Amino acid sequence: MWLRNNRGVALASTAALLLLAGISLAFYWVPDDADQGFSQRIFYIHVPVALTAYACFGWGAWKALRLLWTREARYDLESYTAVHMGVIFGILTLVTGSIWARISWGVWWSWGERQLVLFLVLFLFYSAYFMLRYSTEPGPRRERMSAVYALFGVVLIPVSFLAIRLAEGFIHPTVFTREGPQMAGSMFFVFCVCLAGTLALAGALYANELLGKRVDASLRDLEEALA
Amino acid sequence: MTTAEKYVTAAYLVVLAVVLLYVVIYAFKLARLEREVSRLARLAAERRASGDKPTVEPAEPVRTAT
Amino acid sequence: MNYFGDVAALARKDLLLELRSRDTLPAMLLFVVSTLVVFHFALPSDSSDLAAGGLLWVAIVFTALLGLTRAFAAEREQRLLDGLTLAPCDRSAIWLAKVASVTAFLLVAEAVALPAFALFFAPVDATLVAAVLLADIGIAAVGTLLAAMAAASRARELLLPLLFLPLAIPVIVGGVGATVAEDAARYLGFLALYDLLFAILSWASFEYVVTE
Repeated sequence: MWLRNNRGVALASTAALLLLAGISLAFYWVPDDADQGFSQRIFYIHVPVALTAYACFGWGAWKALRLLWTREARYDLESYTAVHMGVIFGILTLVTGSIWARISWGVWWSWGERQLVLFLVLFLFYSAYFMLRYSTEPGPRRERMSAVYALFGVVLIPVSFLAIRLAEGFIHPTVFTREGPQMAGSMFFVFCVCLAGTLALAGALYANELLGKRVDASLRDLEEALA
Repeated sequence: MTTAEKYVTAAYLVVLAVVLLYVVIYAFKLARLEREVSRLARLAAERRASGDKPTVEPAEPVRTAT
Repeated sequence: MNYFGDVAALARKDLLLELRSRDTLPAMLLFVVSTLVVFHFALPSDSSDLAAGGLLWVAIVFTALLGLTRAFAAEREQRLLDGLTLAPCDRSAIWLAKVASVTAFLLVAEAVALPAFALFFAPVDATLVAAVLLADIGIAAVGTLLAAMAAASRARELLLPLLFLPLAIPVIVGGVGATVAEDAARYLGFLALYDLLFAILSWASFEYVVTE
């Protein structure tokens, strides 16, 4: 019962614990990568943040589906908050990915890096989601339009990924390849700790933001009732 | 500190900075909410002072001791 | 009336309206030719035909955007959409009819654009025509749904490109790939996949976008 009422607190402390442990392990315990040396350690923040962003977009789409299904208005705020968190983590992915490109190849941006390009497309797509919400009157129609758009997002993710892979065929040959998960056991362990940490962080932010948005909405109702 | 070390540290710090920025933005939002709540509370108090019944029902029914 | 009867009637209404008022189509034709002329001056003289092929796709997407911003103009100005959604026909029939009329406008625009492209820049082959046809379906399917969304917002014409362009990136990739790459079949297949996925999704979700 306590856990249910204080979900945000529980998630935030879990996130703090896991991220602290994960980052310390990433800096002081994990051995250097054979290929990339020390700079590979950026992996333990970049990839978990990217996966968390996907998780947020997926969560937002799931809530959107629930909204269309049940027509319960509360799913609208939940879907909106999840997308909001997804955009924050998406921006983080872009920035950390850009730093990684700088370490590895000496440039701040590389069109050869699929993940990065995909996040740019998603960032544009979900920024338009905010524009859509801000320029539409609140109400059931806006809720459903946002939900449909959020659902388009999760279909766009794999389609865009495929498109970016195909585009490499004619834009330029793949010069940069980053090795897939050929990780030692210790690396994988640290990666999992960091992933759990960023997921918990996203959960904590989500719970907080959702509370804030709910208070905002109730205040607006209250104001209407008092006026 | 080597260049690689600097960049890796920078990446982790960026994440920290964005989370902190979020906290700052949230603090502003909280301040705005607080202002609105106190405004509405004042409005409700004025209503009560002028003898009107409050138009808003209490959200939860008042519990009576059993 | 059955489903396709409704669709045909609604599409005919759109085409008749356009024939009478000539609001959209002449603008699209003029726009696509002007764009091609602008591209001639945007390309340095020693750039290859491949670059021109890429720009053709930019011209097509922006022309489609121009048509799509007008797609629900008549309904919005005369508040027809509310009436249409109350009519005893499936809401997705409205979408399908609108997709048909938007595709028809696009086809006419391309019937001008492709010969003009062949005249100004580079020859047009059957693969390019196939890619354009496939792309039209995807653009019209997604664009019609998003145009209905944008028509309900305050920003309207401003909002549609923002919503549409990120979703049009895969179409551009498929189209440009089919135009310039060696193995065009992969890209045509990708365009067909895009059409299928997003047509089903838009068809299923249109109802949620138009009902109050």
